Amino acid sequence: MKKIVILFFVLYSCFSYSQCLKFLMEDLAINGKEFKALVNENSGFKAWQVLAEHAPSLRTDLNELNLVSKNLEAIEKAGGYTKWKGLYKARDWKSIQHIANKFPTEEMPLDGQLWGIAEIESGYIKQMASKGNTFNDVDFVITTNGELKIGKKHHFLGNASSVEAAGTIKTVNGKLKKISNSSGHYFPTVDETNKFPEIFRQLGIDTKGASLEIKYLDDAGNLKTQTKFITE
Amino acid sequence: MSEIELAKQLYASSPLNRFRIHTSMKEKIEMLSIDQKMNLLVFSFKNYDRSYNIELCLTYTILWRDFNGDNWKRLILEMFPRKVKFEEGVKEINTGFYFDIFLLNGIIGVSPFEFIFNEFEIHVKEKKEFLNYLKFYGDVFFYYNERELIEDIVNYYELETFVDIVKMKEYILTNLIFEPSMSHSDLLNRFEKDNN
Repeated sequence: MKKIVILFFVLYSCFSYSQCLKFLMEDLAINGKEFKALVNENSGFKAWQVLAEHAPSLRTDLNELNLVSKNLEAIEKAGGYTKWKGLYKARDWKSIQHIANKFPTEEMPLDGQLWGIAEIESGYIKQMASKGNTFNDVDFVITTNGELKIGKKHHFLGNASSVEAAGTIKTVNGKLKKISNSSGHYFPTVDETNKFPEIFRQLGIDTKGASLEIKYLDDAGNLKTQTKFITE
Repeated sequence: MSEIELAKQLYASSPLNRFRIHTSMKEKIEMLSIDQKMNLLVFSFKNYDRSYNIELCLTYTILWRDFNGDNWKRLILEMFPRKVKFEEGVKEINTGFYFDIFLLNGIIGVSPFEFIFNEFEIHVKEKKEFLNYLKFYGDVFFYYNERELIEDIVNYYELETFVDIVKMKEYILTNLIFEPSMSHSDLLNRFEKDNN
């Protein structure tokens, strides 16, 4: 505890004293022994500092604290937490499939919109600035770098390139309710769509209890739908 | 402000759901005449995707809940000729160009097809193209799984949305404007022979 108090003064140089004081008081009051033990270590406290400054909502997440505390040097080399996180995610992403854009030379739509790149916390999609996190069939793509982009128009979201997954999702307060392959520009096959839940899980999204809707053309060219329940 | 400007503002404020109802938008919609509401809907169906139009029509039922039979028929006629045809394939899978049909057949539960195939204002060529769309894509695009509709209203919209849907269905059926929705195969049996 003494160590924490001493280290606390170091925070003057990092970010607003009053904000820091508020964060630390709250965190120590709310969190358990494991958190207190971690921030009592030099590297753990530095990790907390980094997160409090750059990703405040993750500053008490033990997994993230541990990860950051083990990579303090790499974070400094990368030019800060945000840049390092981008590189870390890209390096860590294990590609499952590449779905080609069926109309790659088509011009970008003027009405394409990127609402945000989803951040995931405890299996849920976090609130996106002005759009919230409750969506009824909003367009998404998952890029080959493992970014879940949400917005309008798949061609625009995927930048005409190949993607891991494309379609629409339903979410309620960030909880995933449904995934569909409803994308005209990528029109994922049945086999490709069956891999969507695994791809979402790799992003850290809780898929249990959601449904997977697959649109496909039968041999006669009729559009059909099959819906599955995701149990994992 | 014109109804088209309002349509654009509503789209810019999407996603629309009960958690994001803007009182000022609602007030502006309330001030529109029936014709202006219809113009707003036609503009939105022709310019925005199907998912957005679901949000629009289920968040702001005030846009259509006072329509009479003539209004519904005019709305359908305004959507012809339909820019997105069967030939476009599934590239336009999220198009709003058939949303009037989906709203009536899939959400409200009444069938506008008898009117479309018998209406002299719709060109024969348009009817054939429409039939092709119905035949190949209608089973998916013109129906809303009932269970999913219930869950979507509970999750995203006001419970009053149910009341407006049921009341409109009752009004349309009682006044013999359209028949109740029927299955996709029944539709094809009924209209394929006469329109090929």
